[in-house]
Amino acid sequence: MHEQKSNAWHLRDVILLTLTAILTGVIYFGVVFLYNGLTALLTPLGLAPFGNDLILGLWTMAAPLAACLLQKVGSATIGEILASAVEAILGGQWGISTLISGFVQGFGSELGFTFTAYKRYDMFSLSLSALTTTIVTFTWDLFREGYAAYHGWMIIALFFTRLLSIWLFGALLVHAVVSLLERSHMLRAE
Amino acid sequence: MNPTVLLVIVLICGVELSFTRVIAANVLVILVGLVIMLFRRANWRSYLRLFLLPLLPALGVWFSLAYFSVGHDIHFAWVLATRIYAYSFLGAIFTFSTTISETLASLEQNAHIPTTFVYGMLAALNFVPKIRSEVQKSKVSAQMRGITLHFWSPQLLFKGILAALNWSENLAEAMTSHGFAENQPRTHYSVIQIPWWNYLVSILVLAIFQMFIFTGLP
Repeated sequence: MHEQKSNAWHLRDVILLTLTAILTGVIYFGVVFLYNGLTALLTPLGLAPFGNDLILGLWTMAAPLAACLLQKVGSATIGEILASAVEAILGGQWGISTLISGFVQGFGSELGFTFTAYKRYDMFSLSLSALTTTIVTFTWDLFREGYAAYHGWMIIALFFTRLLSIWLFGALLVHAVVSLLERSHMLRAE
Repeated sequence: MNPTVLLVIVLICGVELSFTRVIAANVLVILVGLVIMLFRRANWRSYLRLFLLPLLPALGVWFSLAYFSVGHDIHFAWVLATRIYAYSFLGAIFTFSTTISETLASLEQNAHIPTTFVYGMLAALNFVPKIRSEVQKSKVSAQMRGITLHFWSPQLLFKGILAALNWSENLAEAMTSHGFAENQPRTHYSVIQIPWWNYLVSILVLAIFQMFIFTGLP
């Protein structure tokens, strides 16, 4: 099923990605409470950003999933932007500003597949994509979340926490789902 | 205001906020958001929501910057705490000024986003309740066989994606059979235009915003 696919976007693809975005939103809705609980616990210790980075992988999952489902150039970026639009529309906490982070995350994830020339959608590409997502979003958050102001040890610890989270959800979990889909022969080769 | 124009302004301000260390700019965004909400007669629950939801992240970032930033930078802690509120109110400025269908229609007509994306999204968004029940169904049917599916179980996502693959195929076919042609020019029942004063207002708004950012305010 790893033959090169056409890069045109069809109605079916857009609907599929939007449905997948809603689906992940529905499944992970409960995690927001977990996140809030974790943040509440960590806040008095001054370690709240770790709560954020620990579950960041959930918000960035849509990109590698879209890349594997459609295998097109740009599907990770567009998939993540669609997912953030869904989040903004369905009343996410940050409203329209999720579009900005959606673009940054999607672009970060896309790089992993670009580096493997859009030929591989296996654990290697997914892990590479997790790494590029972490590097891009972390660089962004050095400014946006003010990570640059922390002490060196905290910046390094935050980076690895984020990498772990994005790898667990964006590579390990996505890989498991995609292999289930491949075994069920439901991914249509175009 | 035209939703596309507003979206562009909001996104520009959002990106700029990410890189500035000006509390006044954050407060300005929050105040503008409040004025728009008052003007639109927002319900008290919206105010409460907008106050409470960002509270925890804002407190979290304030404490960690106060404890662990180089030199215990309290000013920067306030910048980030107010920035989190500013992001939420940026969202509010947009949601209280326009609706989703208006925005999507304007993105199609004014920003010329391909119709495949606009109508594809519109179609899929109606499926929220179906997806919710699908996830519930998968969980329950797994429980019937003595298996509990958690949010980290690949099976849960897998079953959902199977349903999504089916639905997307069916929906796309249904839309095509109702005469939807991908990215062909369409005529519109309600034509959305960008009034000339929108450009004036956006230049003014962005200019004022730059003044707040670049004139050395705290």
